[in-house]
Amino acid sequence: MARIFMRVLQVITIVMYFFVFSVIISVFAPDTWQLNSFGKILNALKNMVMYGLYFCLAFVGTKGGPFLTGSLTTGVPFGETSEHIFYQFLNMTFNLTTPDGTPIRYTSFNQVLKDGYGTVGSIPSLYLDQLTTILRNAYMLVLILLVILSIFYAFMFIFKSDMKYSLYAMVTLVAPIIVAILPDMIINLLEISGLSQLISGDWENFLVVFRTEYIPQINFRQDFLLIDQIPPGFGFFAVPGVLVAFLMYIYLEFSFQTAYVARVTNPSITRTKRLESQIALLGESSAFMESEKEASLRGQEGKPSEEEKPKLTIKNFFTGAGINAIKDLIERRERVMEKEQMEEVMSDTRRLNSYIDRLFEIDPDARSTLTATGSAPSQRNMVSSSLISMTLRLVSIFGLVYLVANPILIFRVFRVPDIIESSVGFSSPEAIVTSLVPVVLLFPLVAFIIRTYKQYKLSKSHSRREKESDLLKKISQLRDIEEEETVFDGEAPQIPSI
Amino acid sequence: MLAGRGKVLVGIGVFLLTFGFSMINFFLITFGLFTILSAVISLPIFDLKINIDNLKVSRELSKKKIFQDDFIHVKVKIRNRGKKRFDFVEIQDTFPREYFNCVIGEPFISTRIDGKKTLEFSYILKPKLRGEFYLGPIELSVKDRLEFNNEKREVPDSYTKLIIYPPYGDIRKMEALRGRSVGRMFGAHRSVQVGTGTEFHGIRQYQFGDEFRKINWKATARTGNIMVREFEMEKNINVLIVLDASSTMGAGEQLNTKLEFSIRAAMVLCKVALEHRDNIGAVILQNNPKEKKRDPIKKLETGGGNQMMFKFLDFIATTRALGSKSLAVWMDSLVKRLRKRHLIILLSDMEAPHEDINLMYKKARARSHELLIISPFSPWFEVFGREMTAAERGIAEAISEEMMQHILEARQKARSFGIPLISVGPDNIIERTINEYLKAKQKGKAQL
Repeated sequence: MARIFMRVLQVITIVMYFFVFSVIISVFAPDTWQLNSFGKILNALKNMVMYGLYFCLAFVGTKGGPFLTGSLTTGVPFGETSEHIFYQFLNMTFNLTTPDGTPIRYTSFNQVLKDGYGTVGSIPSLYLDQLTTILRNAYMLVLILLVILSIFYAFMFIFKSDMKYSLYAMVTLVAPIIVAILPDMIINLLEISGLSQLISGDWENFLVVFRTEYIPQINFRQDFLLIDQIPPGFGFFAVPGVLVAFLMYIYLEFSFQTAYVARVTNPSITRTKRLESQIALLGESSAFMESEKEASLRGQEGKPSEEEKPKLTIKNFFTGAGINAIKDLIERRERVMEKEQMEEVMSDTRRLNSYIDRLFEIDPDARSTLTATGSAPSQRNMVSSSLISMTLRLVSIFGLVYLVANPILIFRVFRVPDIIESSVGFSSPEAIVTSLVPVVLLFPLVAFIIRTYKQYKLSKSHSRREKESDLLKKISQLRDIEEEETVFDGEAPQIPSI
Repeated sequence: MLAGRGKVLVGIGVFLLTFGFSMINFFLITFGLFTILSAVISLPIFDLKINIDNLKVSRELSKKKIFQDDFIHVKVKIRNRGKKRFDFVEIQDTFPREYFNCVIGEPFISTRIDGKKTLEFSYILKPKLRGEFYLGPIELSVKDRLEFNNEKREVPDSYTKLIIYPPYGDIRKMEALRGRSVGRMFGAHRSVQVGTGTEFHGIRQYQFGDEFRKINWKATARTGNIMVREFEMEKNINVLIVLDASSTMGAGEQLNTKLEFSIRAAMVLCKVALEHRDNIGAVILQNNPKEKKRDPIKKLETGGGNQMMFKFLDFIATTRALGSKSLAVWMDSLVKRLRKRHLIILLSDMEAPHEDINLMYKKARARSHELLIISPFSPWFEVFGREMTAAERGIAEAISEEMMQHILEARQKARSFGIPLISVGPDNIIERTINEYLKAKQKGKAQL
């Protein structure tokens, strides 16, 4: 029953996950998920290597040629024809293009340096183009990787039922949103801190250029994520972001409960299986070793026994064998060590098997305690308590979140004046902090009070128990003294006759 | 308090909230609220519901004393005395892993326990070493169902003493050997006193002083000489096993020390001597460096009977090699305490200055006790069962040579006192000890 319950929870969890996953993915514009990002990065890297090679060859060809031919003074290495042929060769070998795909054809090294395509020197501009490509695609790749990781962890959770995987899956699912809005946040922070005003000259519009040129624009559904005001009353539930957060939390709660059921039921099941197989294996190997031993004993019949072979003893040692005895001993030891160890293992296995057989005969409960079959929790109780606990937690947490997200509800309890109640500040998201801090701190505080009270009660009961035991000790001491005195008197108390 | 998972969740929540506030992102803010509140909401519930004192955990051992090559079944019982359930309980029974192997079962359990319920789990341990050990403590950890909160505790008074005797395998081997080849090693050797008793021994020629009632007339008529019947009586002897437990006896690998082998030999000797109905006693010689005022001679009074073997085992089981060696002082003190004549079998490596050894011989011979020294030859024990490098071998050989000289000198001196000193290795220490005891018994040494 527990396993069925666990499977049901697992199915609900994975369904919840993919529902939330699809919602999160839909938040981004479809062109965000460029699956060829990695290919583009590789291509850009390849281009950069090729540019390097090309420029090296062009440089060597142009500047190294005169040195080799000894015509340094002429300034023209091979003559115009030879240089033209050389560049024809390079242009045929390398297919250089601008980012928009227009082929570049140089005819001299001077052109490579000064008159390349664009307005600036061709080398830096070619490299910068490729760097931009890498940066843009790397950013896209991070988003894709995060999503892939999230799916991977979600499946890991299904297989392992470990809570950490569901946490990872959730974090990696939220992370694309954080990554996507990170540049905006950095720019905002720089603007707030006034750093952007310090930047001037050529780098004046650096932030804008950085954002527009190097980081792709991620298009969100603005209604989903950004909100200026907390919607009043039950309008809170109508905010898509809140609903998705709630769905994500339900997913987490289901995964936590799944992990709990797995954590409680799986160990006892696997332990029982493991130990049953261990015991069975022990019996089998013991029987096998017994037969092996018998076979080896039969095989040894007729051969000179180990006892009959000359033995190295201290007697030999002192009667001339001298130091060689030690050498022989060490060598012999090494030879027989492996055999002895094997024999020891065999003997241990046999004895352990017979010990277990005897134990099971003497103690009928031994098998169930060894395999801990009795440790499996009551399944009906576990299912019902899990359902109740999950429902209670979800309801109470949702209620608390609603309360915290609508701080005005809390402030009404304290009968704040109307002017404060109707102030704009209470509808701003920051107002949540005013209710969040006391609500969050309330729980550890109550827990602390309960714990302190329990400890006080515990120490009180301990001291009472100590007093009682002291009293009992005194009474027993008194009794002993009394008994000693009675024995000393040598007379048993007389029972009065009726 | 919040446990690892709870802290992680709060951390994630705080991060999301901070990020959400800075970007005015309502999704992140709400999700941050969910995560933080889900972690802290269970705090007071956990503290209100869980009373760890309601869990009564105890350990039961199948035996309190076992042989080194035996197994022990350890059972741990957990009883929830309260009415409320514990959603998640982890119980870990600990034992010194350097001295025990868990061969079957697991010494821990993680489960859930309902109110008024009892759970049991068990495991089987195999000791690695002889001695006195404590199993425990039992560690108890109670968590809430989502592992956000936990409470750990060490169960009070959860230590159990366990005494491990030397391996019984030596005695088992001895018994098997005796069954196969009678008389080869531990046959029926008797220490007889001829002339007294009721058991017929033989017929011999009359000698002056023989009782007339012992004359065998038939034999006299047949031989023509006066012949008398001779009777014999089996005599018990007092055997005192003296164990040198100084630090030099503990050199080498834990399982292969001279002390370990000496104790194993002493145990077999005790068994054989008791089977021969001899009285057996034991003495442990040790200068304890921590308790300098303590008597260096720990003695188990000589005795016999069924219980003696276990008394002997209890006496030697907990011995550890400690302190310096002072053979002459020990021997002097020991022989003064012995009222009856004893066959003293000293198990010592004799790694002491020659002056001390010679003085010990003198002290032993001063009283009429018979002394027999079984000396484990150090290098043989220290290389026993070890794989050595070439350098280690070289060192071992050099040390062996030096030690050999020392033992030869000690043996020569012992011979002059009429004391047999037998050097033994790990392969033959048990066999030689028993043989020497039987030889001494046959010769009628230390008869009362």
